[in-house]
Amino acid sequence: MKRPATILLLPSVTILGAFFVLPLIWILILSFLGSSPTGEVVGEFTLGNYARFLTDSYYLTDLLWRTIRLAAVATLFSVLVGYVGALLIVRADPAAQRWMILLVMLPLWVNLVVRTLALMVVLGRTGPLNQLLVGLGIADRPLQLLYNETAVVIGMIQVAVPFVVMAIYGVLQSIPRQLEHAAMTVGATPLAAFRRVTLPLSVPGILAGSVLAFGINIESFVVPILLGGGRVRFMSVAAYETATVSNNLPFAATIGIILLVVAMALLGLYQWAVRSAGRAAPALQAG
Amino acid sequence: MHKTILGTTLWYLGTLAFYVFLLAPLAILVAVSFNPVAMVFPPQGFTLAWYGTILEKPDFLHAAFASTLLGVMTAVICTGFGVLAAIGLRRYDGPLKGPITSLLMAPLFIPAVIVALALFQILFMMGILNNIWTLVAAHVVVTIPYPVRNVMAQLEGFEGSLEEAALSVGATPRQALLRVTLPLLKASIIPSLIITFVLSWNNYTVSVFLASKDWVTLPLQLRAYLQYEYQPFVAAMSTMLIIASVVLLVLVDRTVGLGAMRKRG
Amino acid sequence: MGQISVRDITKVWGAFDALKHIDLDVREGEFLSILGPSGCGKSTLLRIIAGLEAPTSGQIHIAGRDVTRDPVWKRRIGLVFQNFALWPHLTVFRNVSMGLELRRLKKDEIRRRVLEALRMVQLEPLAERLPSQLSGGQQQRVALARAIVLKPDVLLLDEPLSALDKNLRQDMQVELKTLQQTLGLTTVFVTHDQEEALSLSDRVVVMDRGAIGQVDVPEAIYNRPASEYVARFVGEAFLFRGIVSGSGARPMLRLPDGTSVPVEGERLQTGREAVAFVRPEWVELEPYDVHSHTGAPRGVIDRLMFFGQTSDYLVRVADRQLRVKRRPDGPALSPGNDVALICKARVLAAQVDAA
Repeated sequence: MKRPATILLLPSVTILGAFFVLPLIWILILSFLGSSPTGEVVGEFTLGNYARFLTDSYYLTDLLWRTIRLAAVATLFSVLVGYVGALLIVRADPAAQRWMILLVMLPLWVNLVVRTLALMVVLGRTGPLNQLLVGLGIADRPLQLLYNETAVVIGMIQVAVPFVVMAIYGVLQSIPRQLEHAAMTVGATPLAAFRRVTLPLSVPGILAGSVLAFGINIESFVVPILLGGGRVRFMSVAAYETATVSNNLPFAATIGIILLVVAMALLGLYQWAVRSAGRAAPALQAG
Repeated sequence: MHKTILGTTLWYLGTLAFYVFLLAPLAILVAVSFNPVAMVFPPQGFTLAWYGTILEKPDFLHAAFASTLLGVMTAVICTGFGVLAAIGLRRYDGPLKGPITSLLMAPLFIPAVIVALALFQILFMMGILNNIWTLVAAHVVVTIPYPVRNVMAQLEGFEGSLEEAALSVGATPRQALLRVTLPLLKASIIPSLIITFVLSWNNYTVSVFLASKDWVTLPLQLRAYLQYEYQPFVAAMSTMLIIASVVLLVLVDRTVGLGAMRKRG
Repeated sequence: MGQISVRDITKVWGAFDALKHIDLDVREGEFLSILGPSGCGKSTLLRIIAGLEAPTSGQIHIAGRDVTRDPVWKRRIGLVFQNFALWPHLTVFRNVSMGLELRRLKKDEIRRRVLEALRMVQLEPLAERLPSQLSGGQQQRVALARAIVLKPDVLLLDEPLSALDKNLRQDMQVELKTLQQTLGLTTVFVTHDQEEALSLSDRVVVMDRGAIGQVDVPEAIYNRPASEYVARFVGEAFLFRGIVSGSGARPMLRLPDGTSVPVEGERLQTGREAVAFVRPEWVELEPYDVHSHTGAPRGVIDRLMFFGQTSDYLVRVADRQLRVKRRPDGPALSPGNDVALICKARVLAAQVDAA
């Protein structure tokens, strides 16, 4: 049976080898190659690209740190909104739940450019949000809501929330409602019962949801381009522009590799931190 | 349970607020597409004229054709490869089982923008960028984990003896595969085809790196219009894409159920 | 008015009446069982007393207070759930202490009371374990400790033993009863197991499709059931239908086949139709003898089952089968033998009035 198994695996392993592994190895190598002022690749080993990135405060703070910071802020809000959404769904009438889930998943099926465009209309100078703010007297004239960090964060939250909802919904669903009722019989108000029972038991969902959201946000590409309007610099966009506009391939590769390493390291660190915090309190095992 | 009127009201308001946050932008965009004047909400009138304008844009029609062709090719190749790989992984018991499984899932964990960047770099080097096949290959690479995962999940539920039973009545391994395993896998193949199609159809990141002038896809074309012609016909185009997504979503929900469709956009 | 008083409680779900005008008083310190098949409304009644379910109409008083509109967390009740509902992320100690923490008691008082409660259920050494590390019986005790540590006004138990296997269940019954008596806790115990209800309770409530069938001490429920339903649900009953005959001193029930059974019961009226029943251990079997057994009901032994101290004889009487529990020291009987049934049947009170 061994031969047919290898044959079955061959097509996908080949295509992944050629169009996934090889290119990744190639940009790793490329990131250590020099480039001439015109962007030509120079075939000699250098740490210059990394040195350039890591010594220039523009790249470090304006680009890398901004990317991490915006992704983290958006993740925090995505988890908050997503948790509330998941809780609202899980506590809804079972017949309604199916529809509520369908509506949460709907945006995932709509093209990201379309969704971002929708936010551009909402946040625009003449858009409904500005009309609301002026109408309520919160602002006396329309605010610049687009093309800044807030707009990018709002966009990232919009994108990440459905994923967070699905991750947390799955966990919340597995927690029997009776555990909260039991807390109420010993004197807990519904809020106290939620805080002492459901919330700690849903930590695995929060963890999964935030890892998912951060992973999506840090590689966000369409959102910073459209909602940042070129004013909000972002790692993924910088890598794209360096490669296609300035044609500095080695440096674009360096930005890509740094983004990859930082994203992996932060996610690893986060999961490790949550796990070890969880170990101090007893392990969670619902049901 | 004792429910207070205040609590129940707050609960419903919360649900409403959540869905407004999630869906109102899309609804507003649809409404704007009927605005005869400008990309402004609420519309200052009602017209379907922008939908007519779409048909007069040859680049839009071309992009729709390109996206559909790309989506179908990606779906068929990706699902085909994925099904074979999933069956292969189940049969294969060599030392490389772990690494191969990780490889097949890896595109889920590496940011798509980095995969696209890497592909762009290597193809640029080799001078073979202007080509639909490289675009298809790139789309297949970033979507292949989904069919592999779907089919493997379904295979787990099978008794391993089903194929052995076929062999015992005289079928060759090839016949057993064609007559027993593949028909049983229909329930995971169809969702895989749809997922991979939708992912490819909606993909922006990979396409923007690799697509040439001849193969501008819908998301790229939409973005191009946004830059140069910010008018309600863009909203009309978006509305048509939204409708297509809703139709697909409902279709999937009615046929195979969304449970089989856990995906990461 | 008792420690718990249930006044005219009704619960309607759509078109289904789950509870129909229930009135019930539970006396202070009493162990009261609510017995019935699944779907009879017994758990709903308990959840209404606990406050986990709101009644459609009616009132609940606990310890003299009208709690009908009070939410669960203000009712001062202890509730043990069928599947225990222990918090899986908290240790045994923290499971028991949560109620005290919520009352903002001092740390050392919490510790003292939790350990005291755990000692009562013999779980003190396992205080730092998680529920998942405990056996079913131990989890049951934690649930019990969690309920009693707050010294509640009433203890409510929702089929707490049904998740345990048979031997463990018997041990837990004894412990539960001992604990309840030591603490003098007013206890309402919901179960579908009639043996459990009879052996543990001061009084038993038998429920039938959302209404109360009978409330009485276990002995009365078993020996003097108020209806055919109660007779059949509590223990095994073999029913005779016939017409009351014979004089006041020795009443008989004349059966359709011409035989007669001696009966007992209150206010029997000659000539009236009535239903009487016997329990398996009320009947003595004798080899049928034409002379001495004329007019007595007769049957044929179908099968014999040996259980050690007693044996069960399955006897076919007309088309029906009757189980007789019998010590093996009487005359030897085997399958196929003709037997006479020697017994005194009990007339169901309700049937007499209904006729």
